[in-house]
Amino acid sequence: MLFNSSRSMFNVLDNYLEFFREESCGQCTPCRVGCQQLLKGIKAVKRGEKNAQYLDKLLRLTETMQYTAKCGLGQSVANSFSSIVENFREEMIY
Amino acid sequence: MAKKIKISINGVSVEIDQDTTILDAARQTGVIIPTLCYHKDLCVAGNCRVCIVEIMGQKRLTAACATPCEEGMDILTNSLKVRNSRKHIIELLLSEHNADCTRCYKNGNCELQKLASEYKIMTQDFIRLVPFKNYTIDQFSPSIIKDDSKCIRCQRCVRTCAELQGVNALTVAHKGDQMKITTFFEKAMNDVVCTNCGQCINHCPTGALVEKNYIEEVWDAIADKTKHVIVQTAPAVRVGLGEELGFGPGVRVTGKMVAALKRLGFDAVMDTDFTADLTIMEEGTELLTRLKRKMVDHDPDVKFPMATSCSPGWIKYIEHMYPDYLDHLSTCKSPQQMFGALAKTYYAKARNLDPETIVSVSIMPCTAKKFEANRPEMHDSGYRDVDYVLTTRELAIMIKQAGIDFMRLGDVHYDRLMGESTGAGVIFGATGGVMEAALRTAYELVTGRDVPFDNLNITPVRGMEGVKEATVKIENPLKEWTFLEGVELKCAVAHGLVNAHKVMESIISGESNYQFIEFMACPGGCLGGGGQPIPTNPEIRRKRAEAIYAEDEGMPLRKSHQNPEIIKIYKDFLDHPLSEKSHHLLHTHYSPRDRF
Repeated sequence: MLFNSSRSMFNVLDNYLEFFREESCGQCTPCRVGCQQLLKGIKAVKRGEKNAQYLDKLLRLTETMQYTAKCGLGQSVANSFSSIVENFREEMIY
Repeated sequence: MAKKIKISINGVSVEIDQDTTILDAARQTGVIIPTLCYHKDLCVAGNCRVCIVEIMGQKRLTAACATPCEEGMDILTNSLKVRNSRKHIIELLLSEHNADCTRCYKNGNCELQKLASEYKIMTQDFIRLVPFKNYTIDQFSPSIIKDDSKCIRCQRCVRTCAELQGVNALTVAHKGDQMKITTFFEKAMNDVVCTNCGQCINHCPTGALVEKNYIEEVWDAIADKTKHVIVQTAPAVRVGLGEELGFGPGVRVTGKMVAALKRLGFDAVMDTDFTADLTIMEEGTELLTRLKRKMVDHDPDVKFPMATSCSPGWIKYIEHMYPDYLDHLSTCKSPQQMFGALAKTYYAKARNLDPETIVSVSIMPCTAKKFEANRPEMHDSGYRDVDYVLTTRELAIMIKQAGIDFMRLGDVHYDRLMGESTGAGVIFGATGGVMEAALRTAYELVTGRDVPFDNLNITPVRGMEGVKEATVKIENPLKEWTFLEGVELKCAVAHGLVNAHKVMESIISGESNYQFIEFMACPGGCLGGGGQPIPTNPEIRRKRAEAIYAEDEGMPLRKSHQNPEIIKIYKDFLDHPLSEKSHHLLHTHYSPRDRF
């Protein structure tokens, strides 16, 4: 997916996670709670309530979601999350 | 014989039956895989993901409860990947859970707490989600408290309500972060089609669904010197209570239970089994009277089949679901309510007590009994017939609070007047028991002989099959009952409301032509009741049933009409079954309820 350089990648991820949080059917734990944690987590890092290392904890969480979620929705959250957080880490923090 | 396949679990090769799930295969080989949403009574959901395992060669982890083994599978249940993921999942569940464990009713008997303890989750790294949710506690039902903040969305309650009970009071609503377990239009539990059976409580792994407890009220009554506090114990409690107090399943603790109740300070300890025997006298006579009205008087108003009325969960179910069939119910109150009505009349008179000062407590394997005691029509003694209903679990809590070393108690006998019972009263606690007890008495009443089964054991109505049938042919009746000569009494027994539904539908369609049916709301009958110790599963129910029948076999008297205290109460107080006095005190009526 392409975005021009004026786009805030934080907002892009925020938008993705908002979608996943809402569209998760809510059945399985990793997807239902995981999506909520990821969304709240990046906001907390952005606001400075959690330190930057919390992003690494969230990255490990997306790995668990990929391994354990019941369907493709929860399993695929890791793709966008890790791609954005790993490539635009500073945008997530500042 | 099932085909065998070879798999490897944690490097150990094992041979197991084809179609065994990974979870069962592991358990068979001594490897424990933790679970939350899995329950032996219910269909597999696979939604908590706690039971994930690694299958070599696959990137993703697999839910062990929902996956059958395949030839050559190499399974790891404790690899680093599994452990890290599982820990994550427990942490996620805890982040969404009101983990105020010390203030939780289920503290000490919570599956999530146990898992958190095993995996030593000591930190709260993830953000606590509870404060962001508008959780409310539903305390409106007299039986069930529902606290969504403790719910882990495993849906065991939903599956219980649908699969075991066919009631569907609890269901899943919304999706994503809004997903929750709720009721029709999110109404309160007292306002929906809920039978109060408590099976959801018994199947809930956490404190999200618990009984409304009346422990403090009972302690207060015991401490009040102006009150005379009497207690009755239901048949199924004696085979369940031990599980909460250090014994294994299926251990009978009748004598110890009576001893413990006396030590708790109850003024008199008597037995619901006594009123179970009384129920048989009344209900058996009612059945025979109905048969006579139909066959001799050709009364068009008399309804068959006659259905039992001991199970308050079943009563509320039929009131909601089949209000046109309320005439089929026996008018007999349940043994609990018969006891309550007699406690403040017969007992009060015999002991020369002011009924106003009597507090009547019952120990039941049941949460629907709390609702039943609360019914407005249950005031026939002139007072509230039963003041407080405690479950088996609540009694265990009181015994622990009182510091009683239950294991070391000696056996004590029930108090006189309403404490004597027969084997027929005891088997009320198992599915088929009411039927068996009724047949033992009714057959003898009609023919003067024992029911024609080996050693009074009517085995066709025993066991855990959902719907059981038995036919008893009446031969050579006494003079008064000659119209019953050659009549085949067709009986059925249903336990679990989903089976009650099947039987009711077969009656409506005209497929079946039973005369007498026993209905019990809970799987296994009262011994599997919603107020019994947690866990309850098929194996534990079987053990409790064995204990019930062993107790029956061990009784010197095994037919209700032989109970000396029953003979005495009819002589001194009630005159005869279905007398005016028994109609007033021991019988009741039912009210149609809405389906929504």
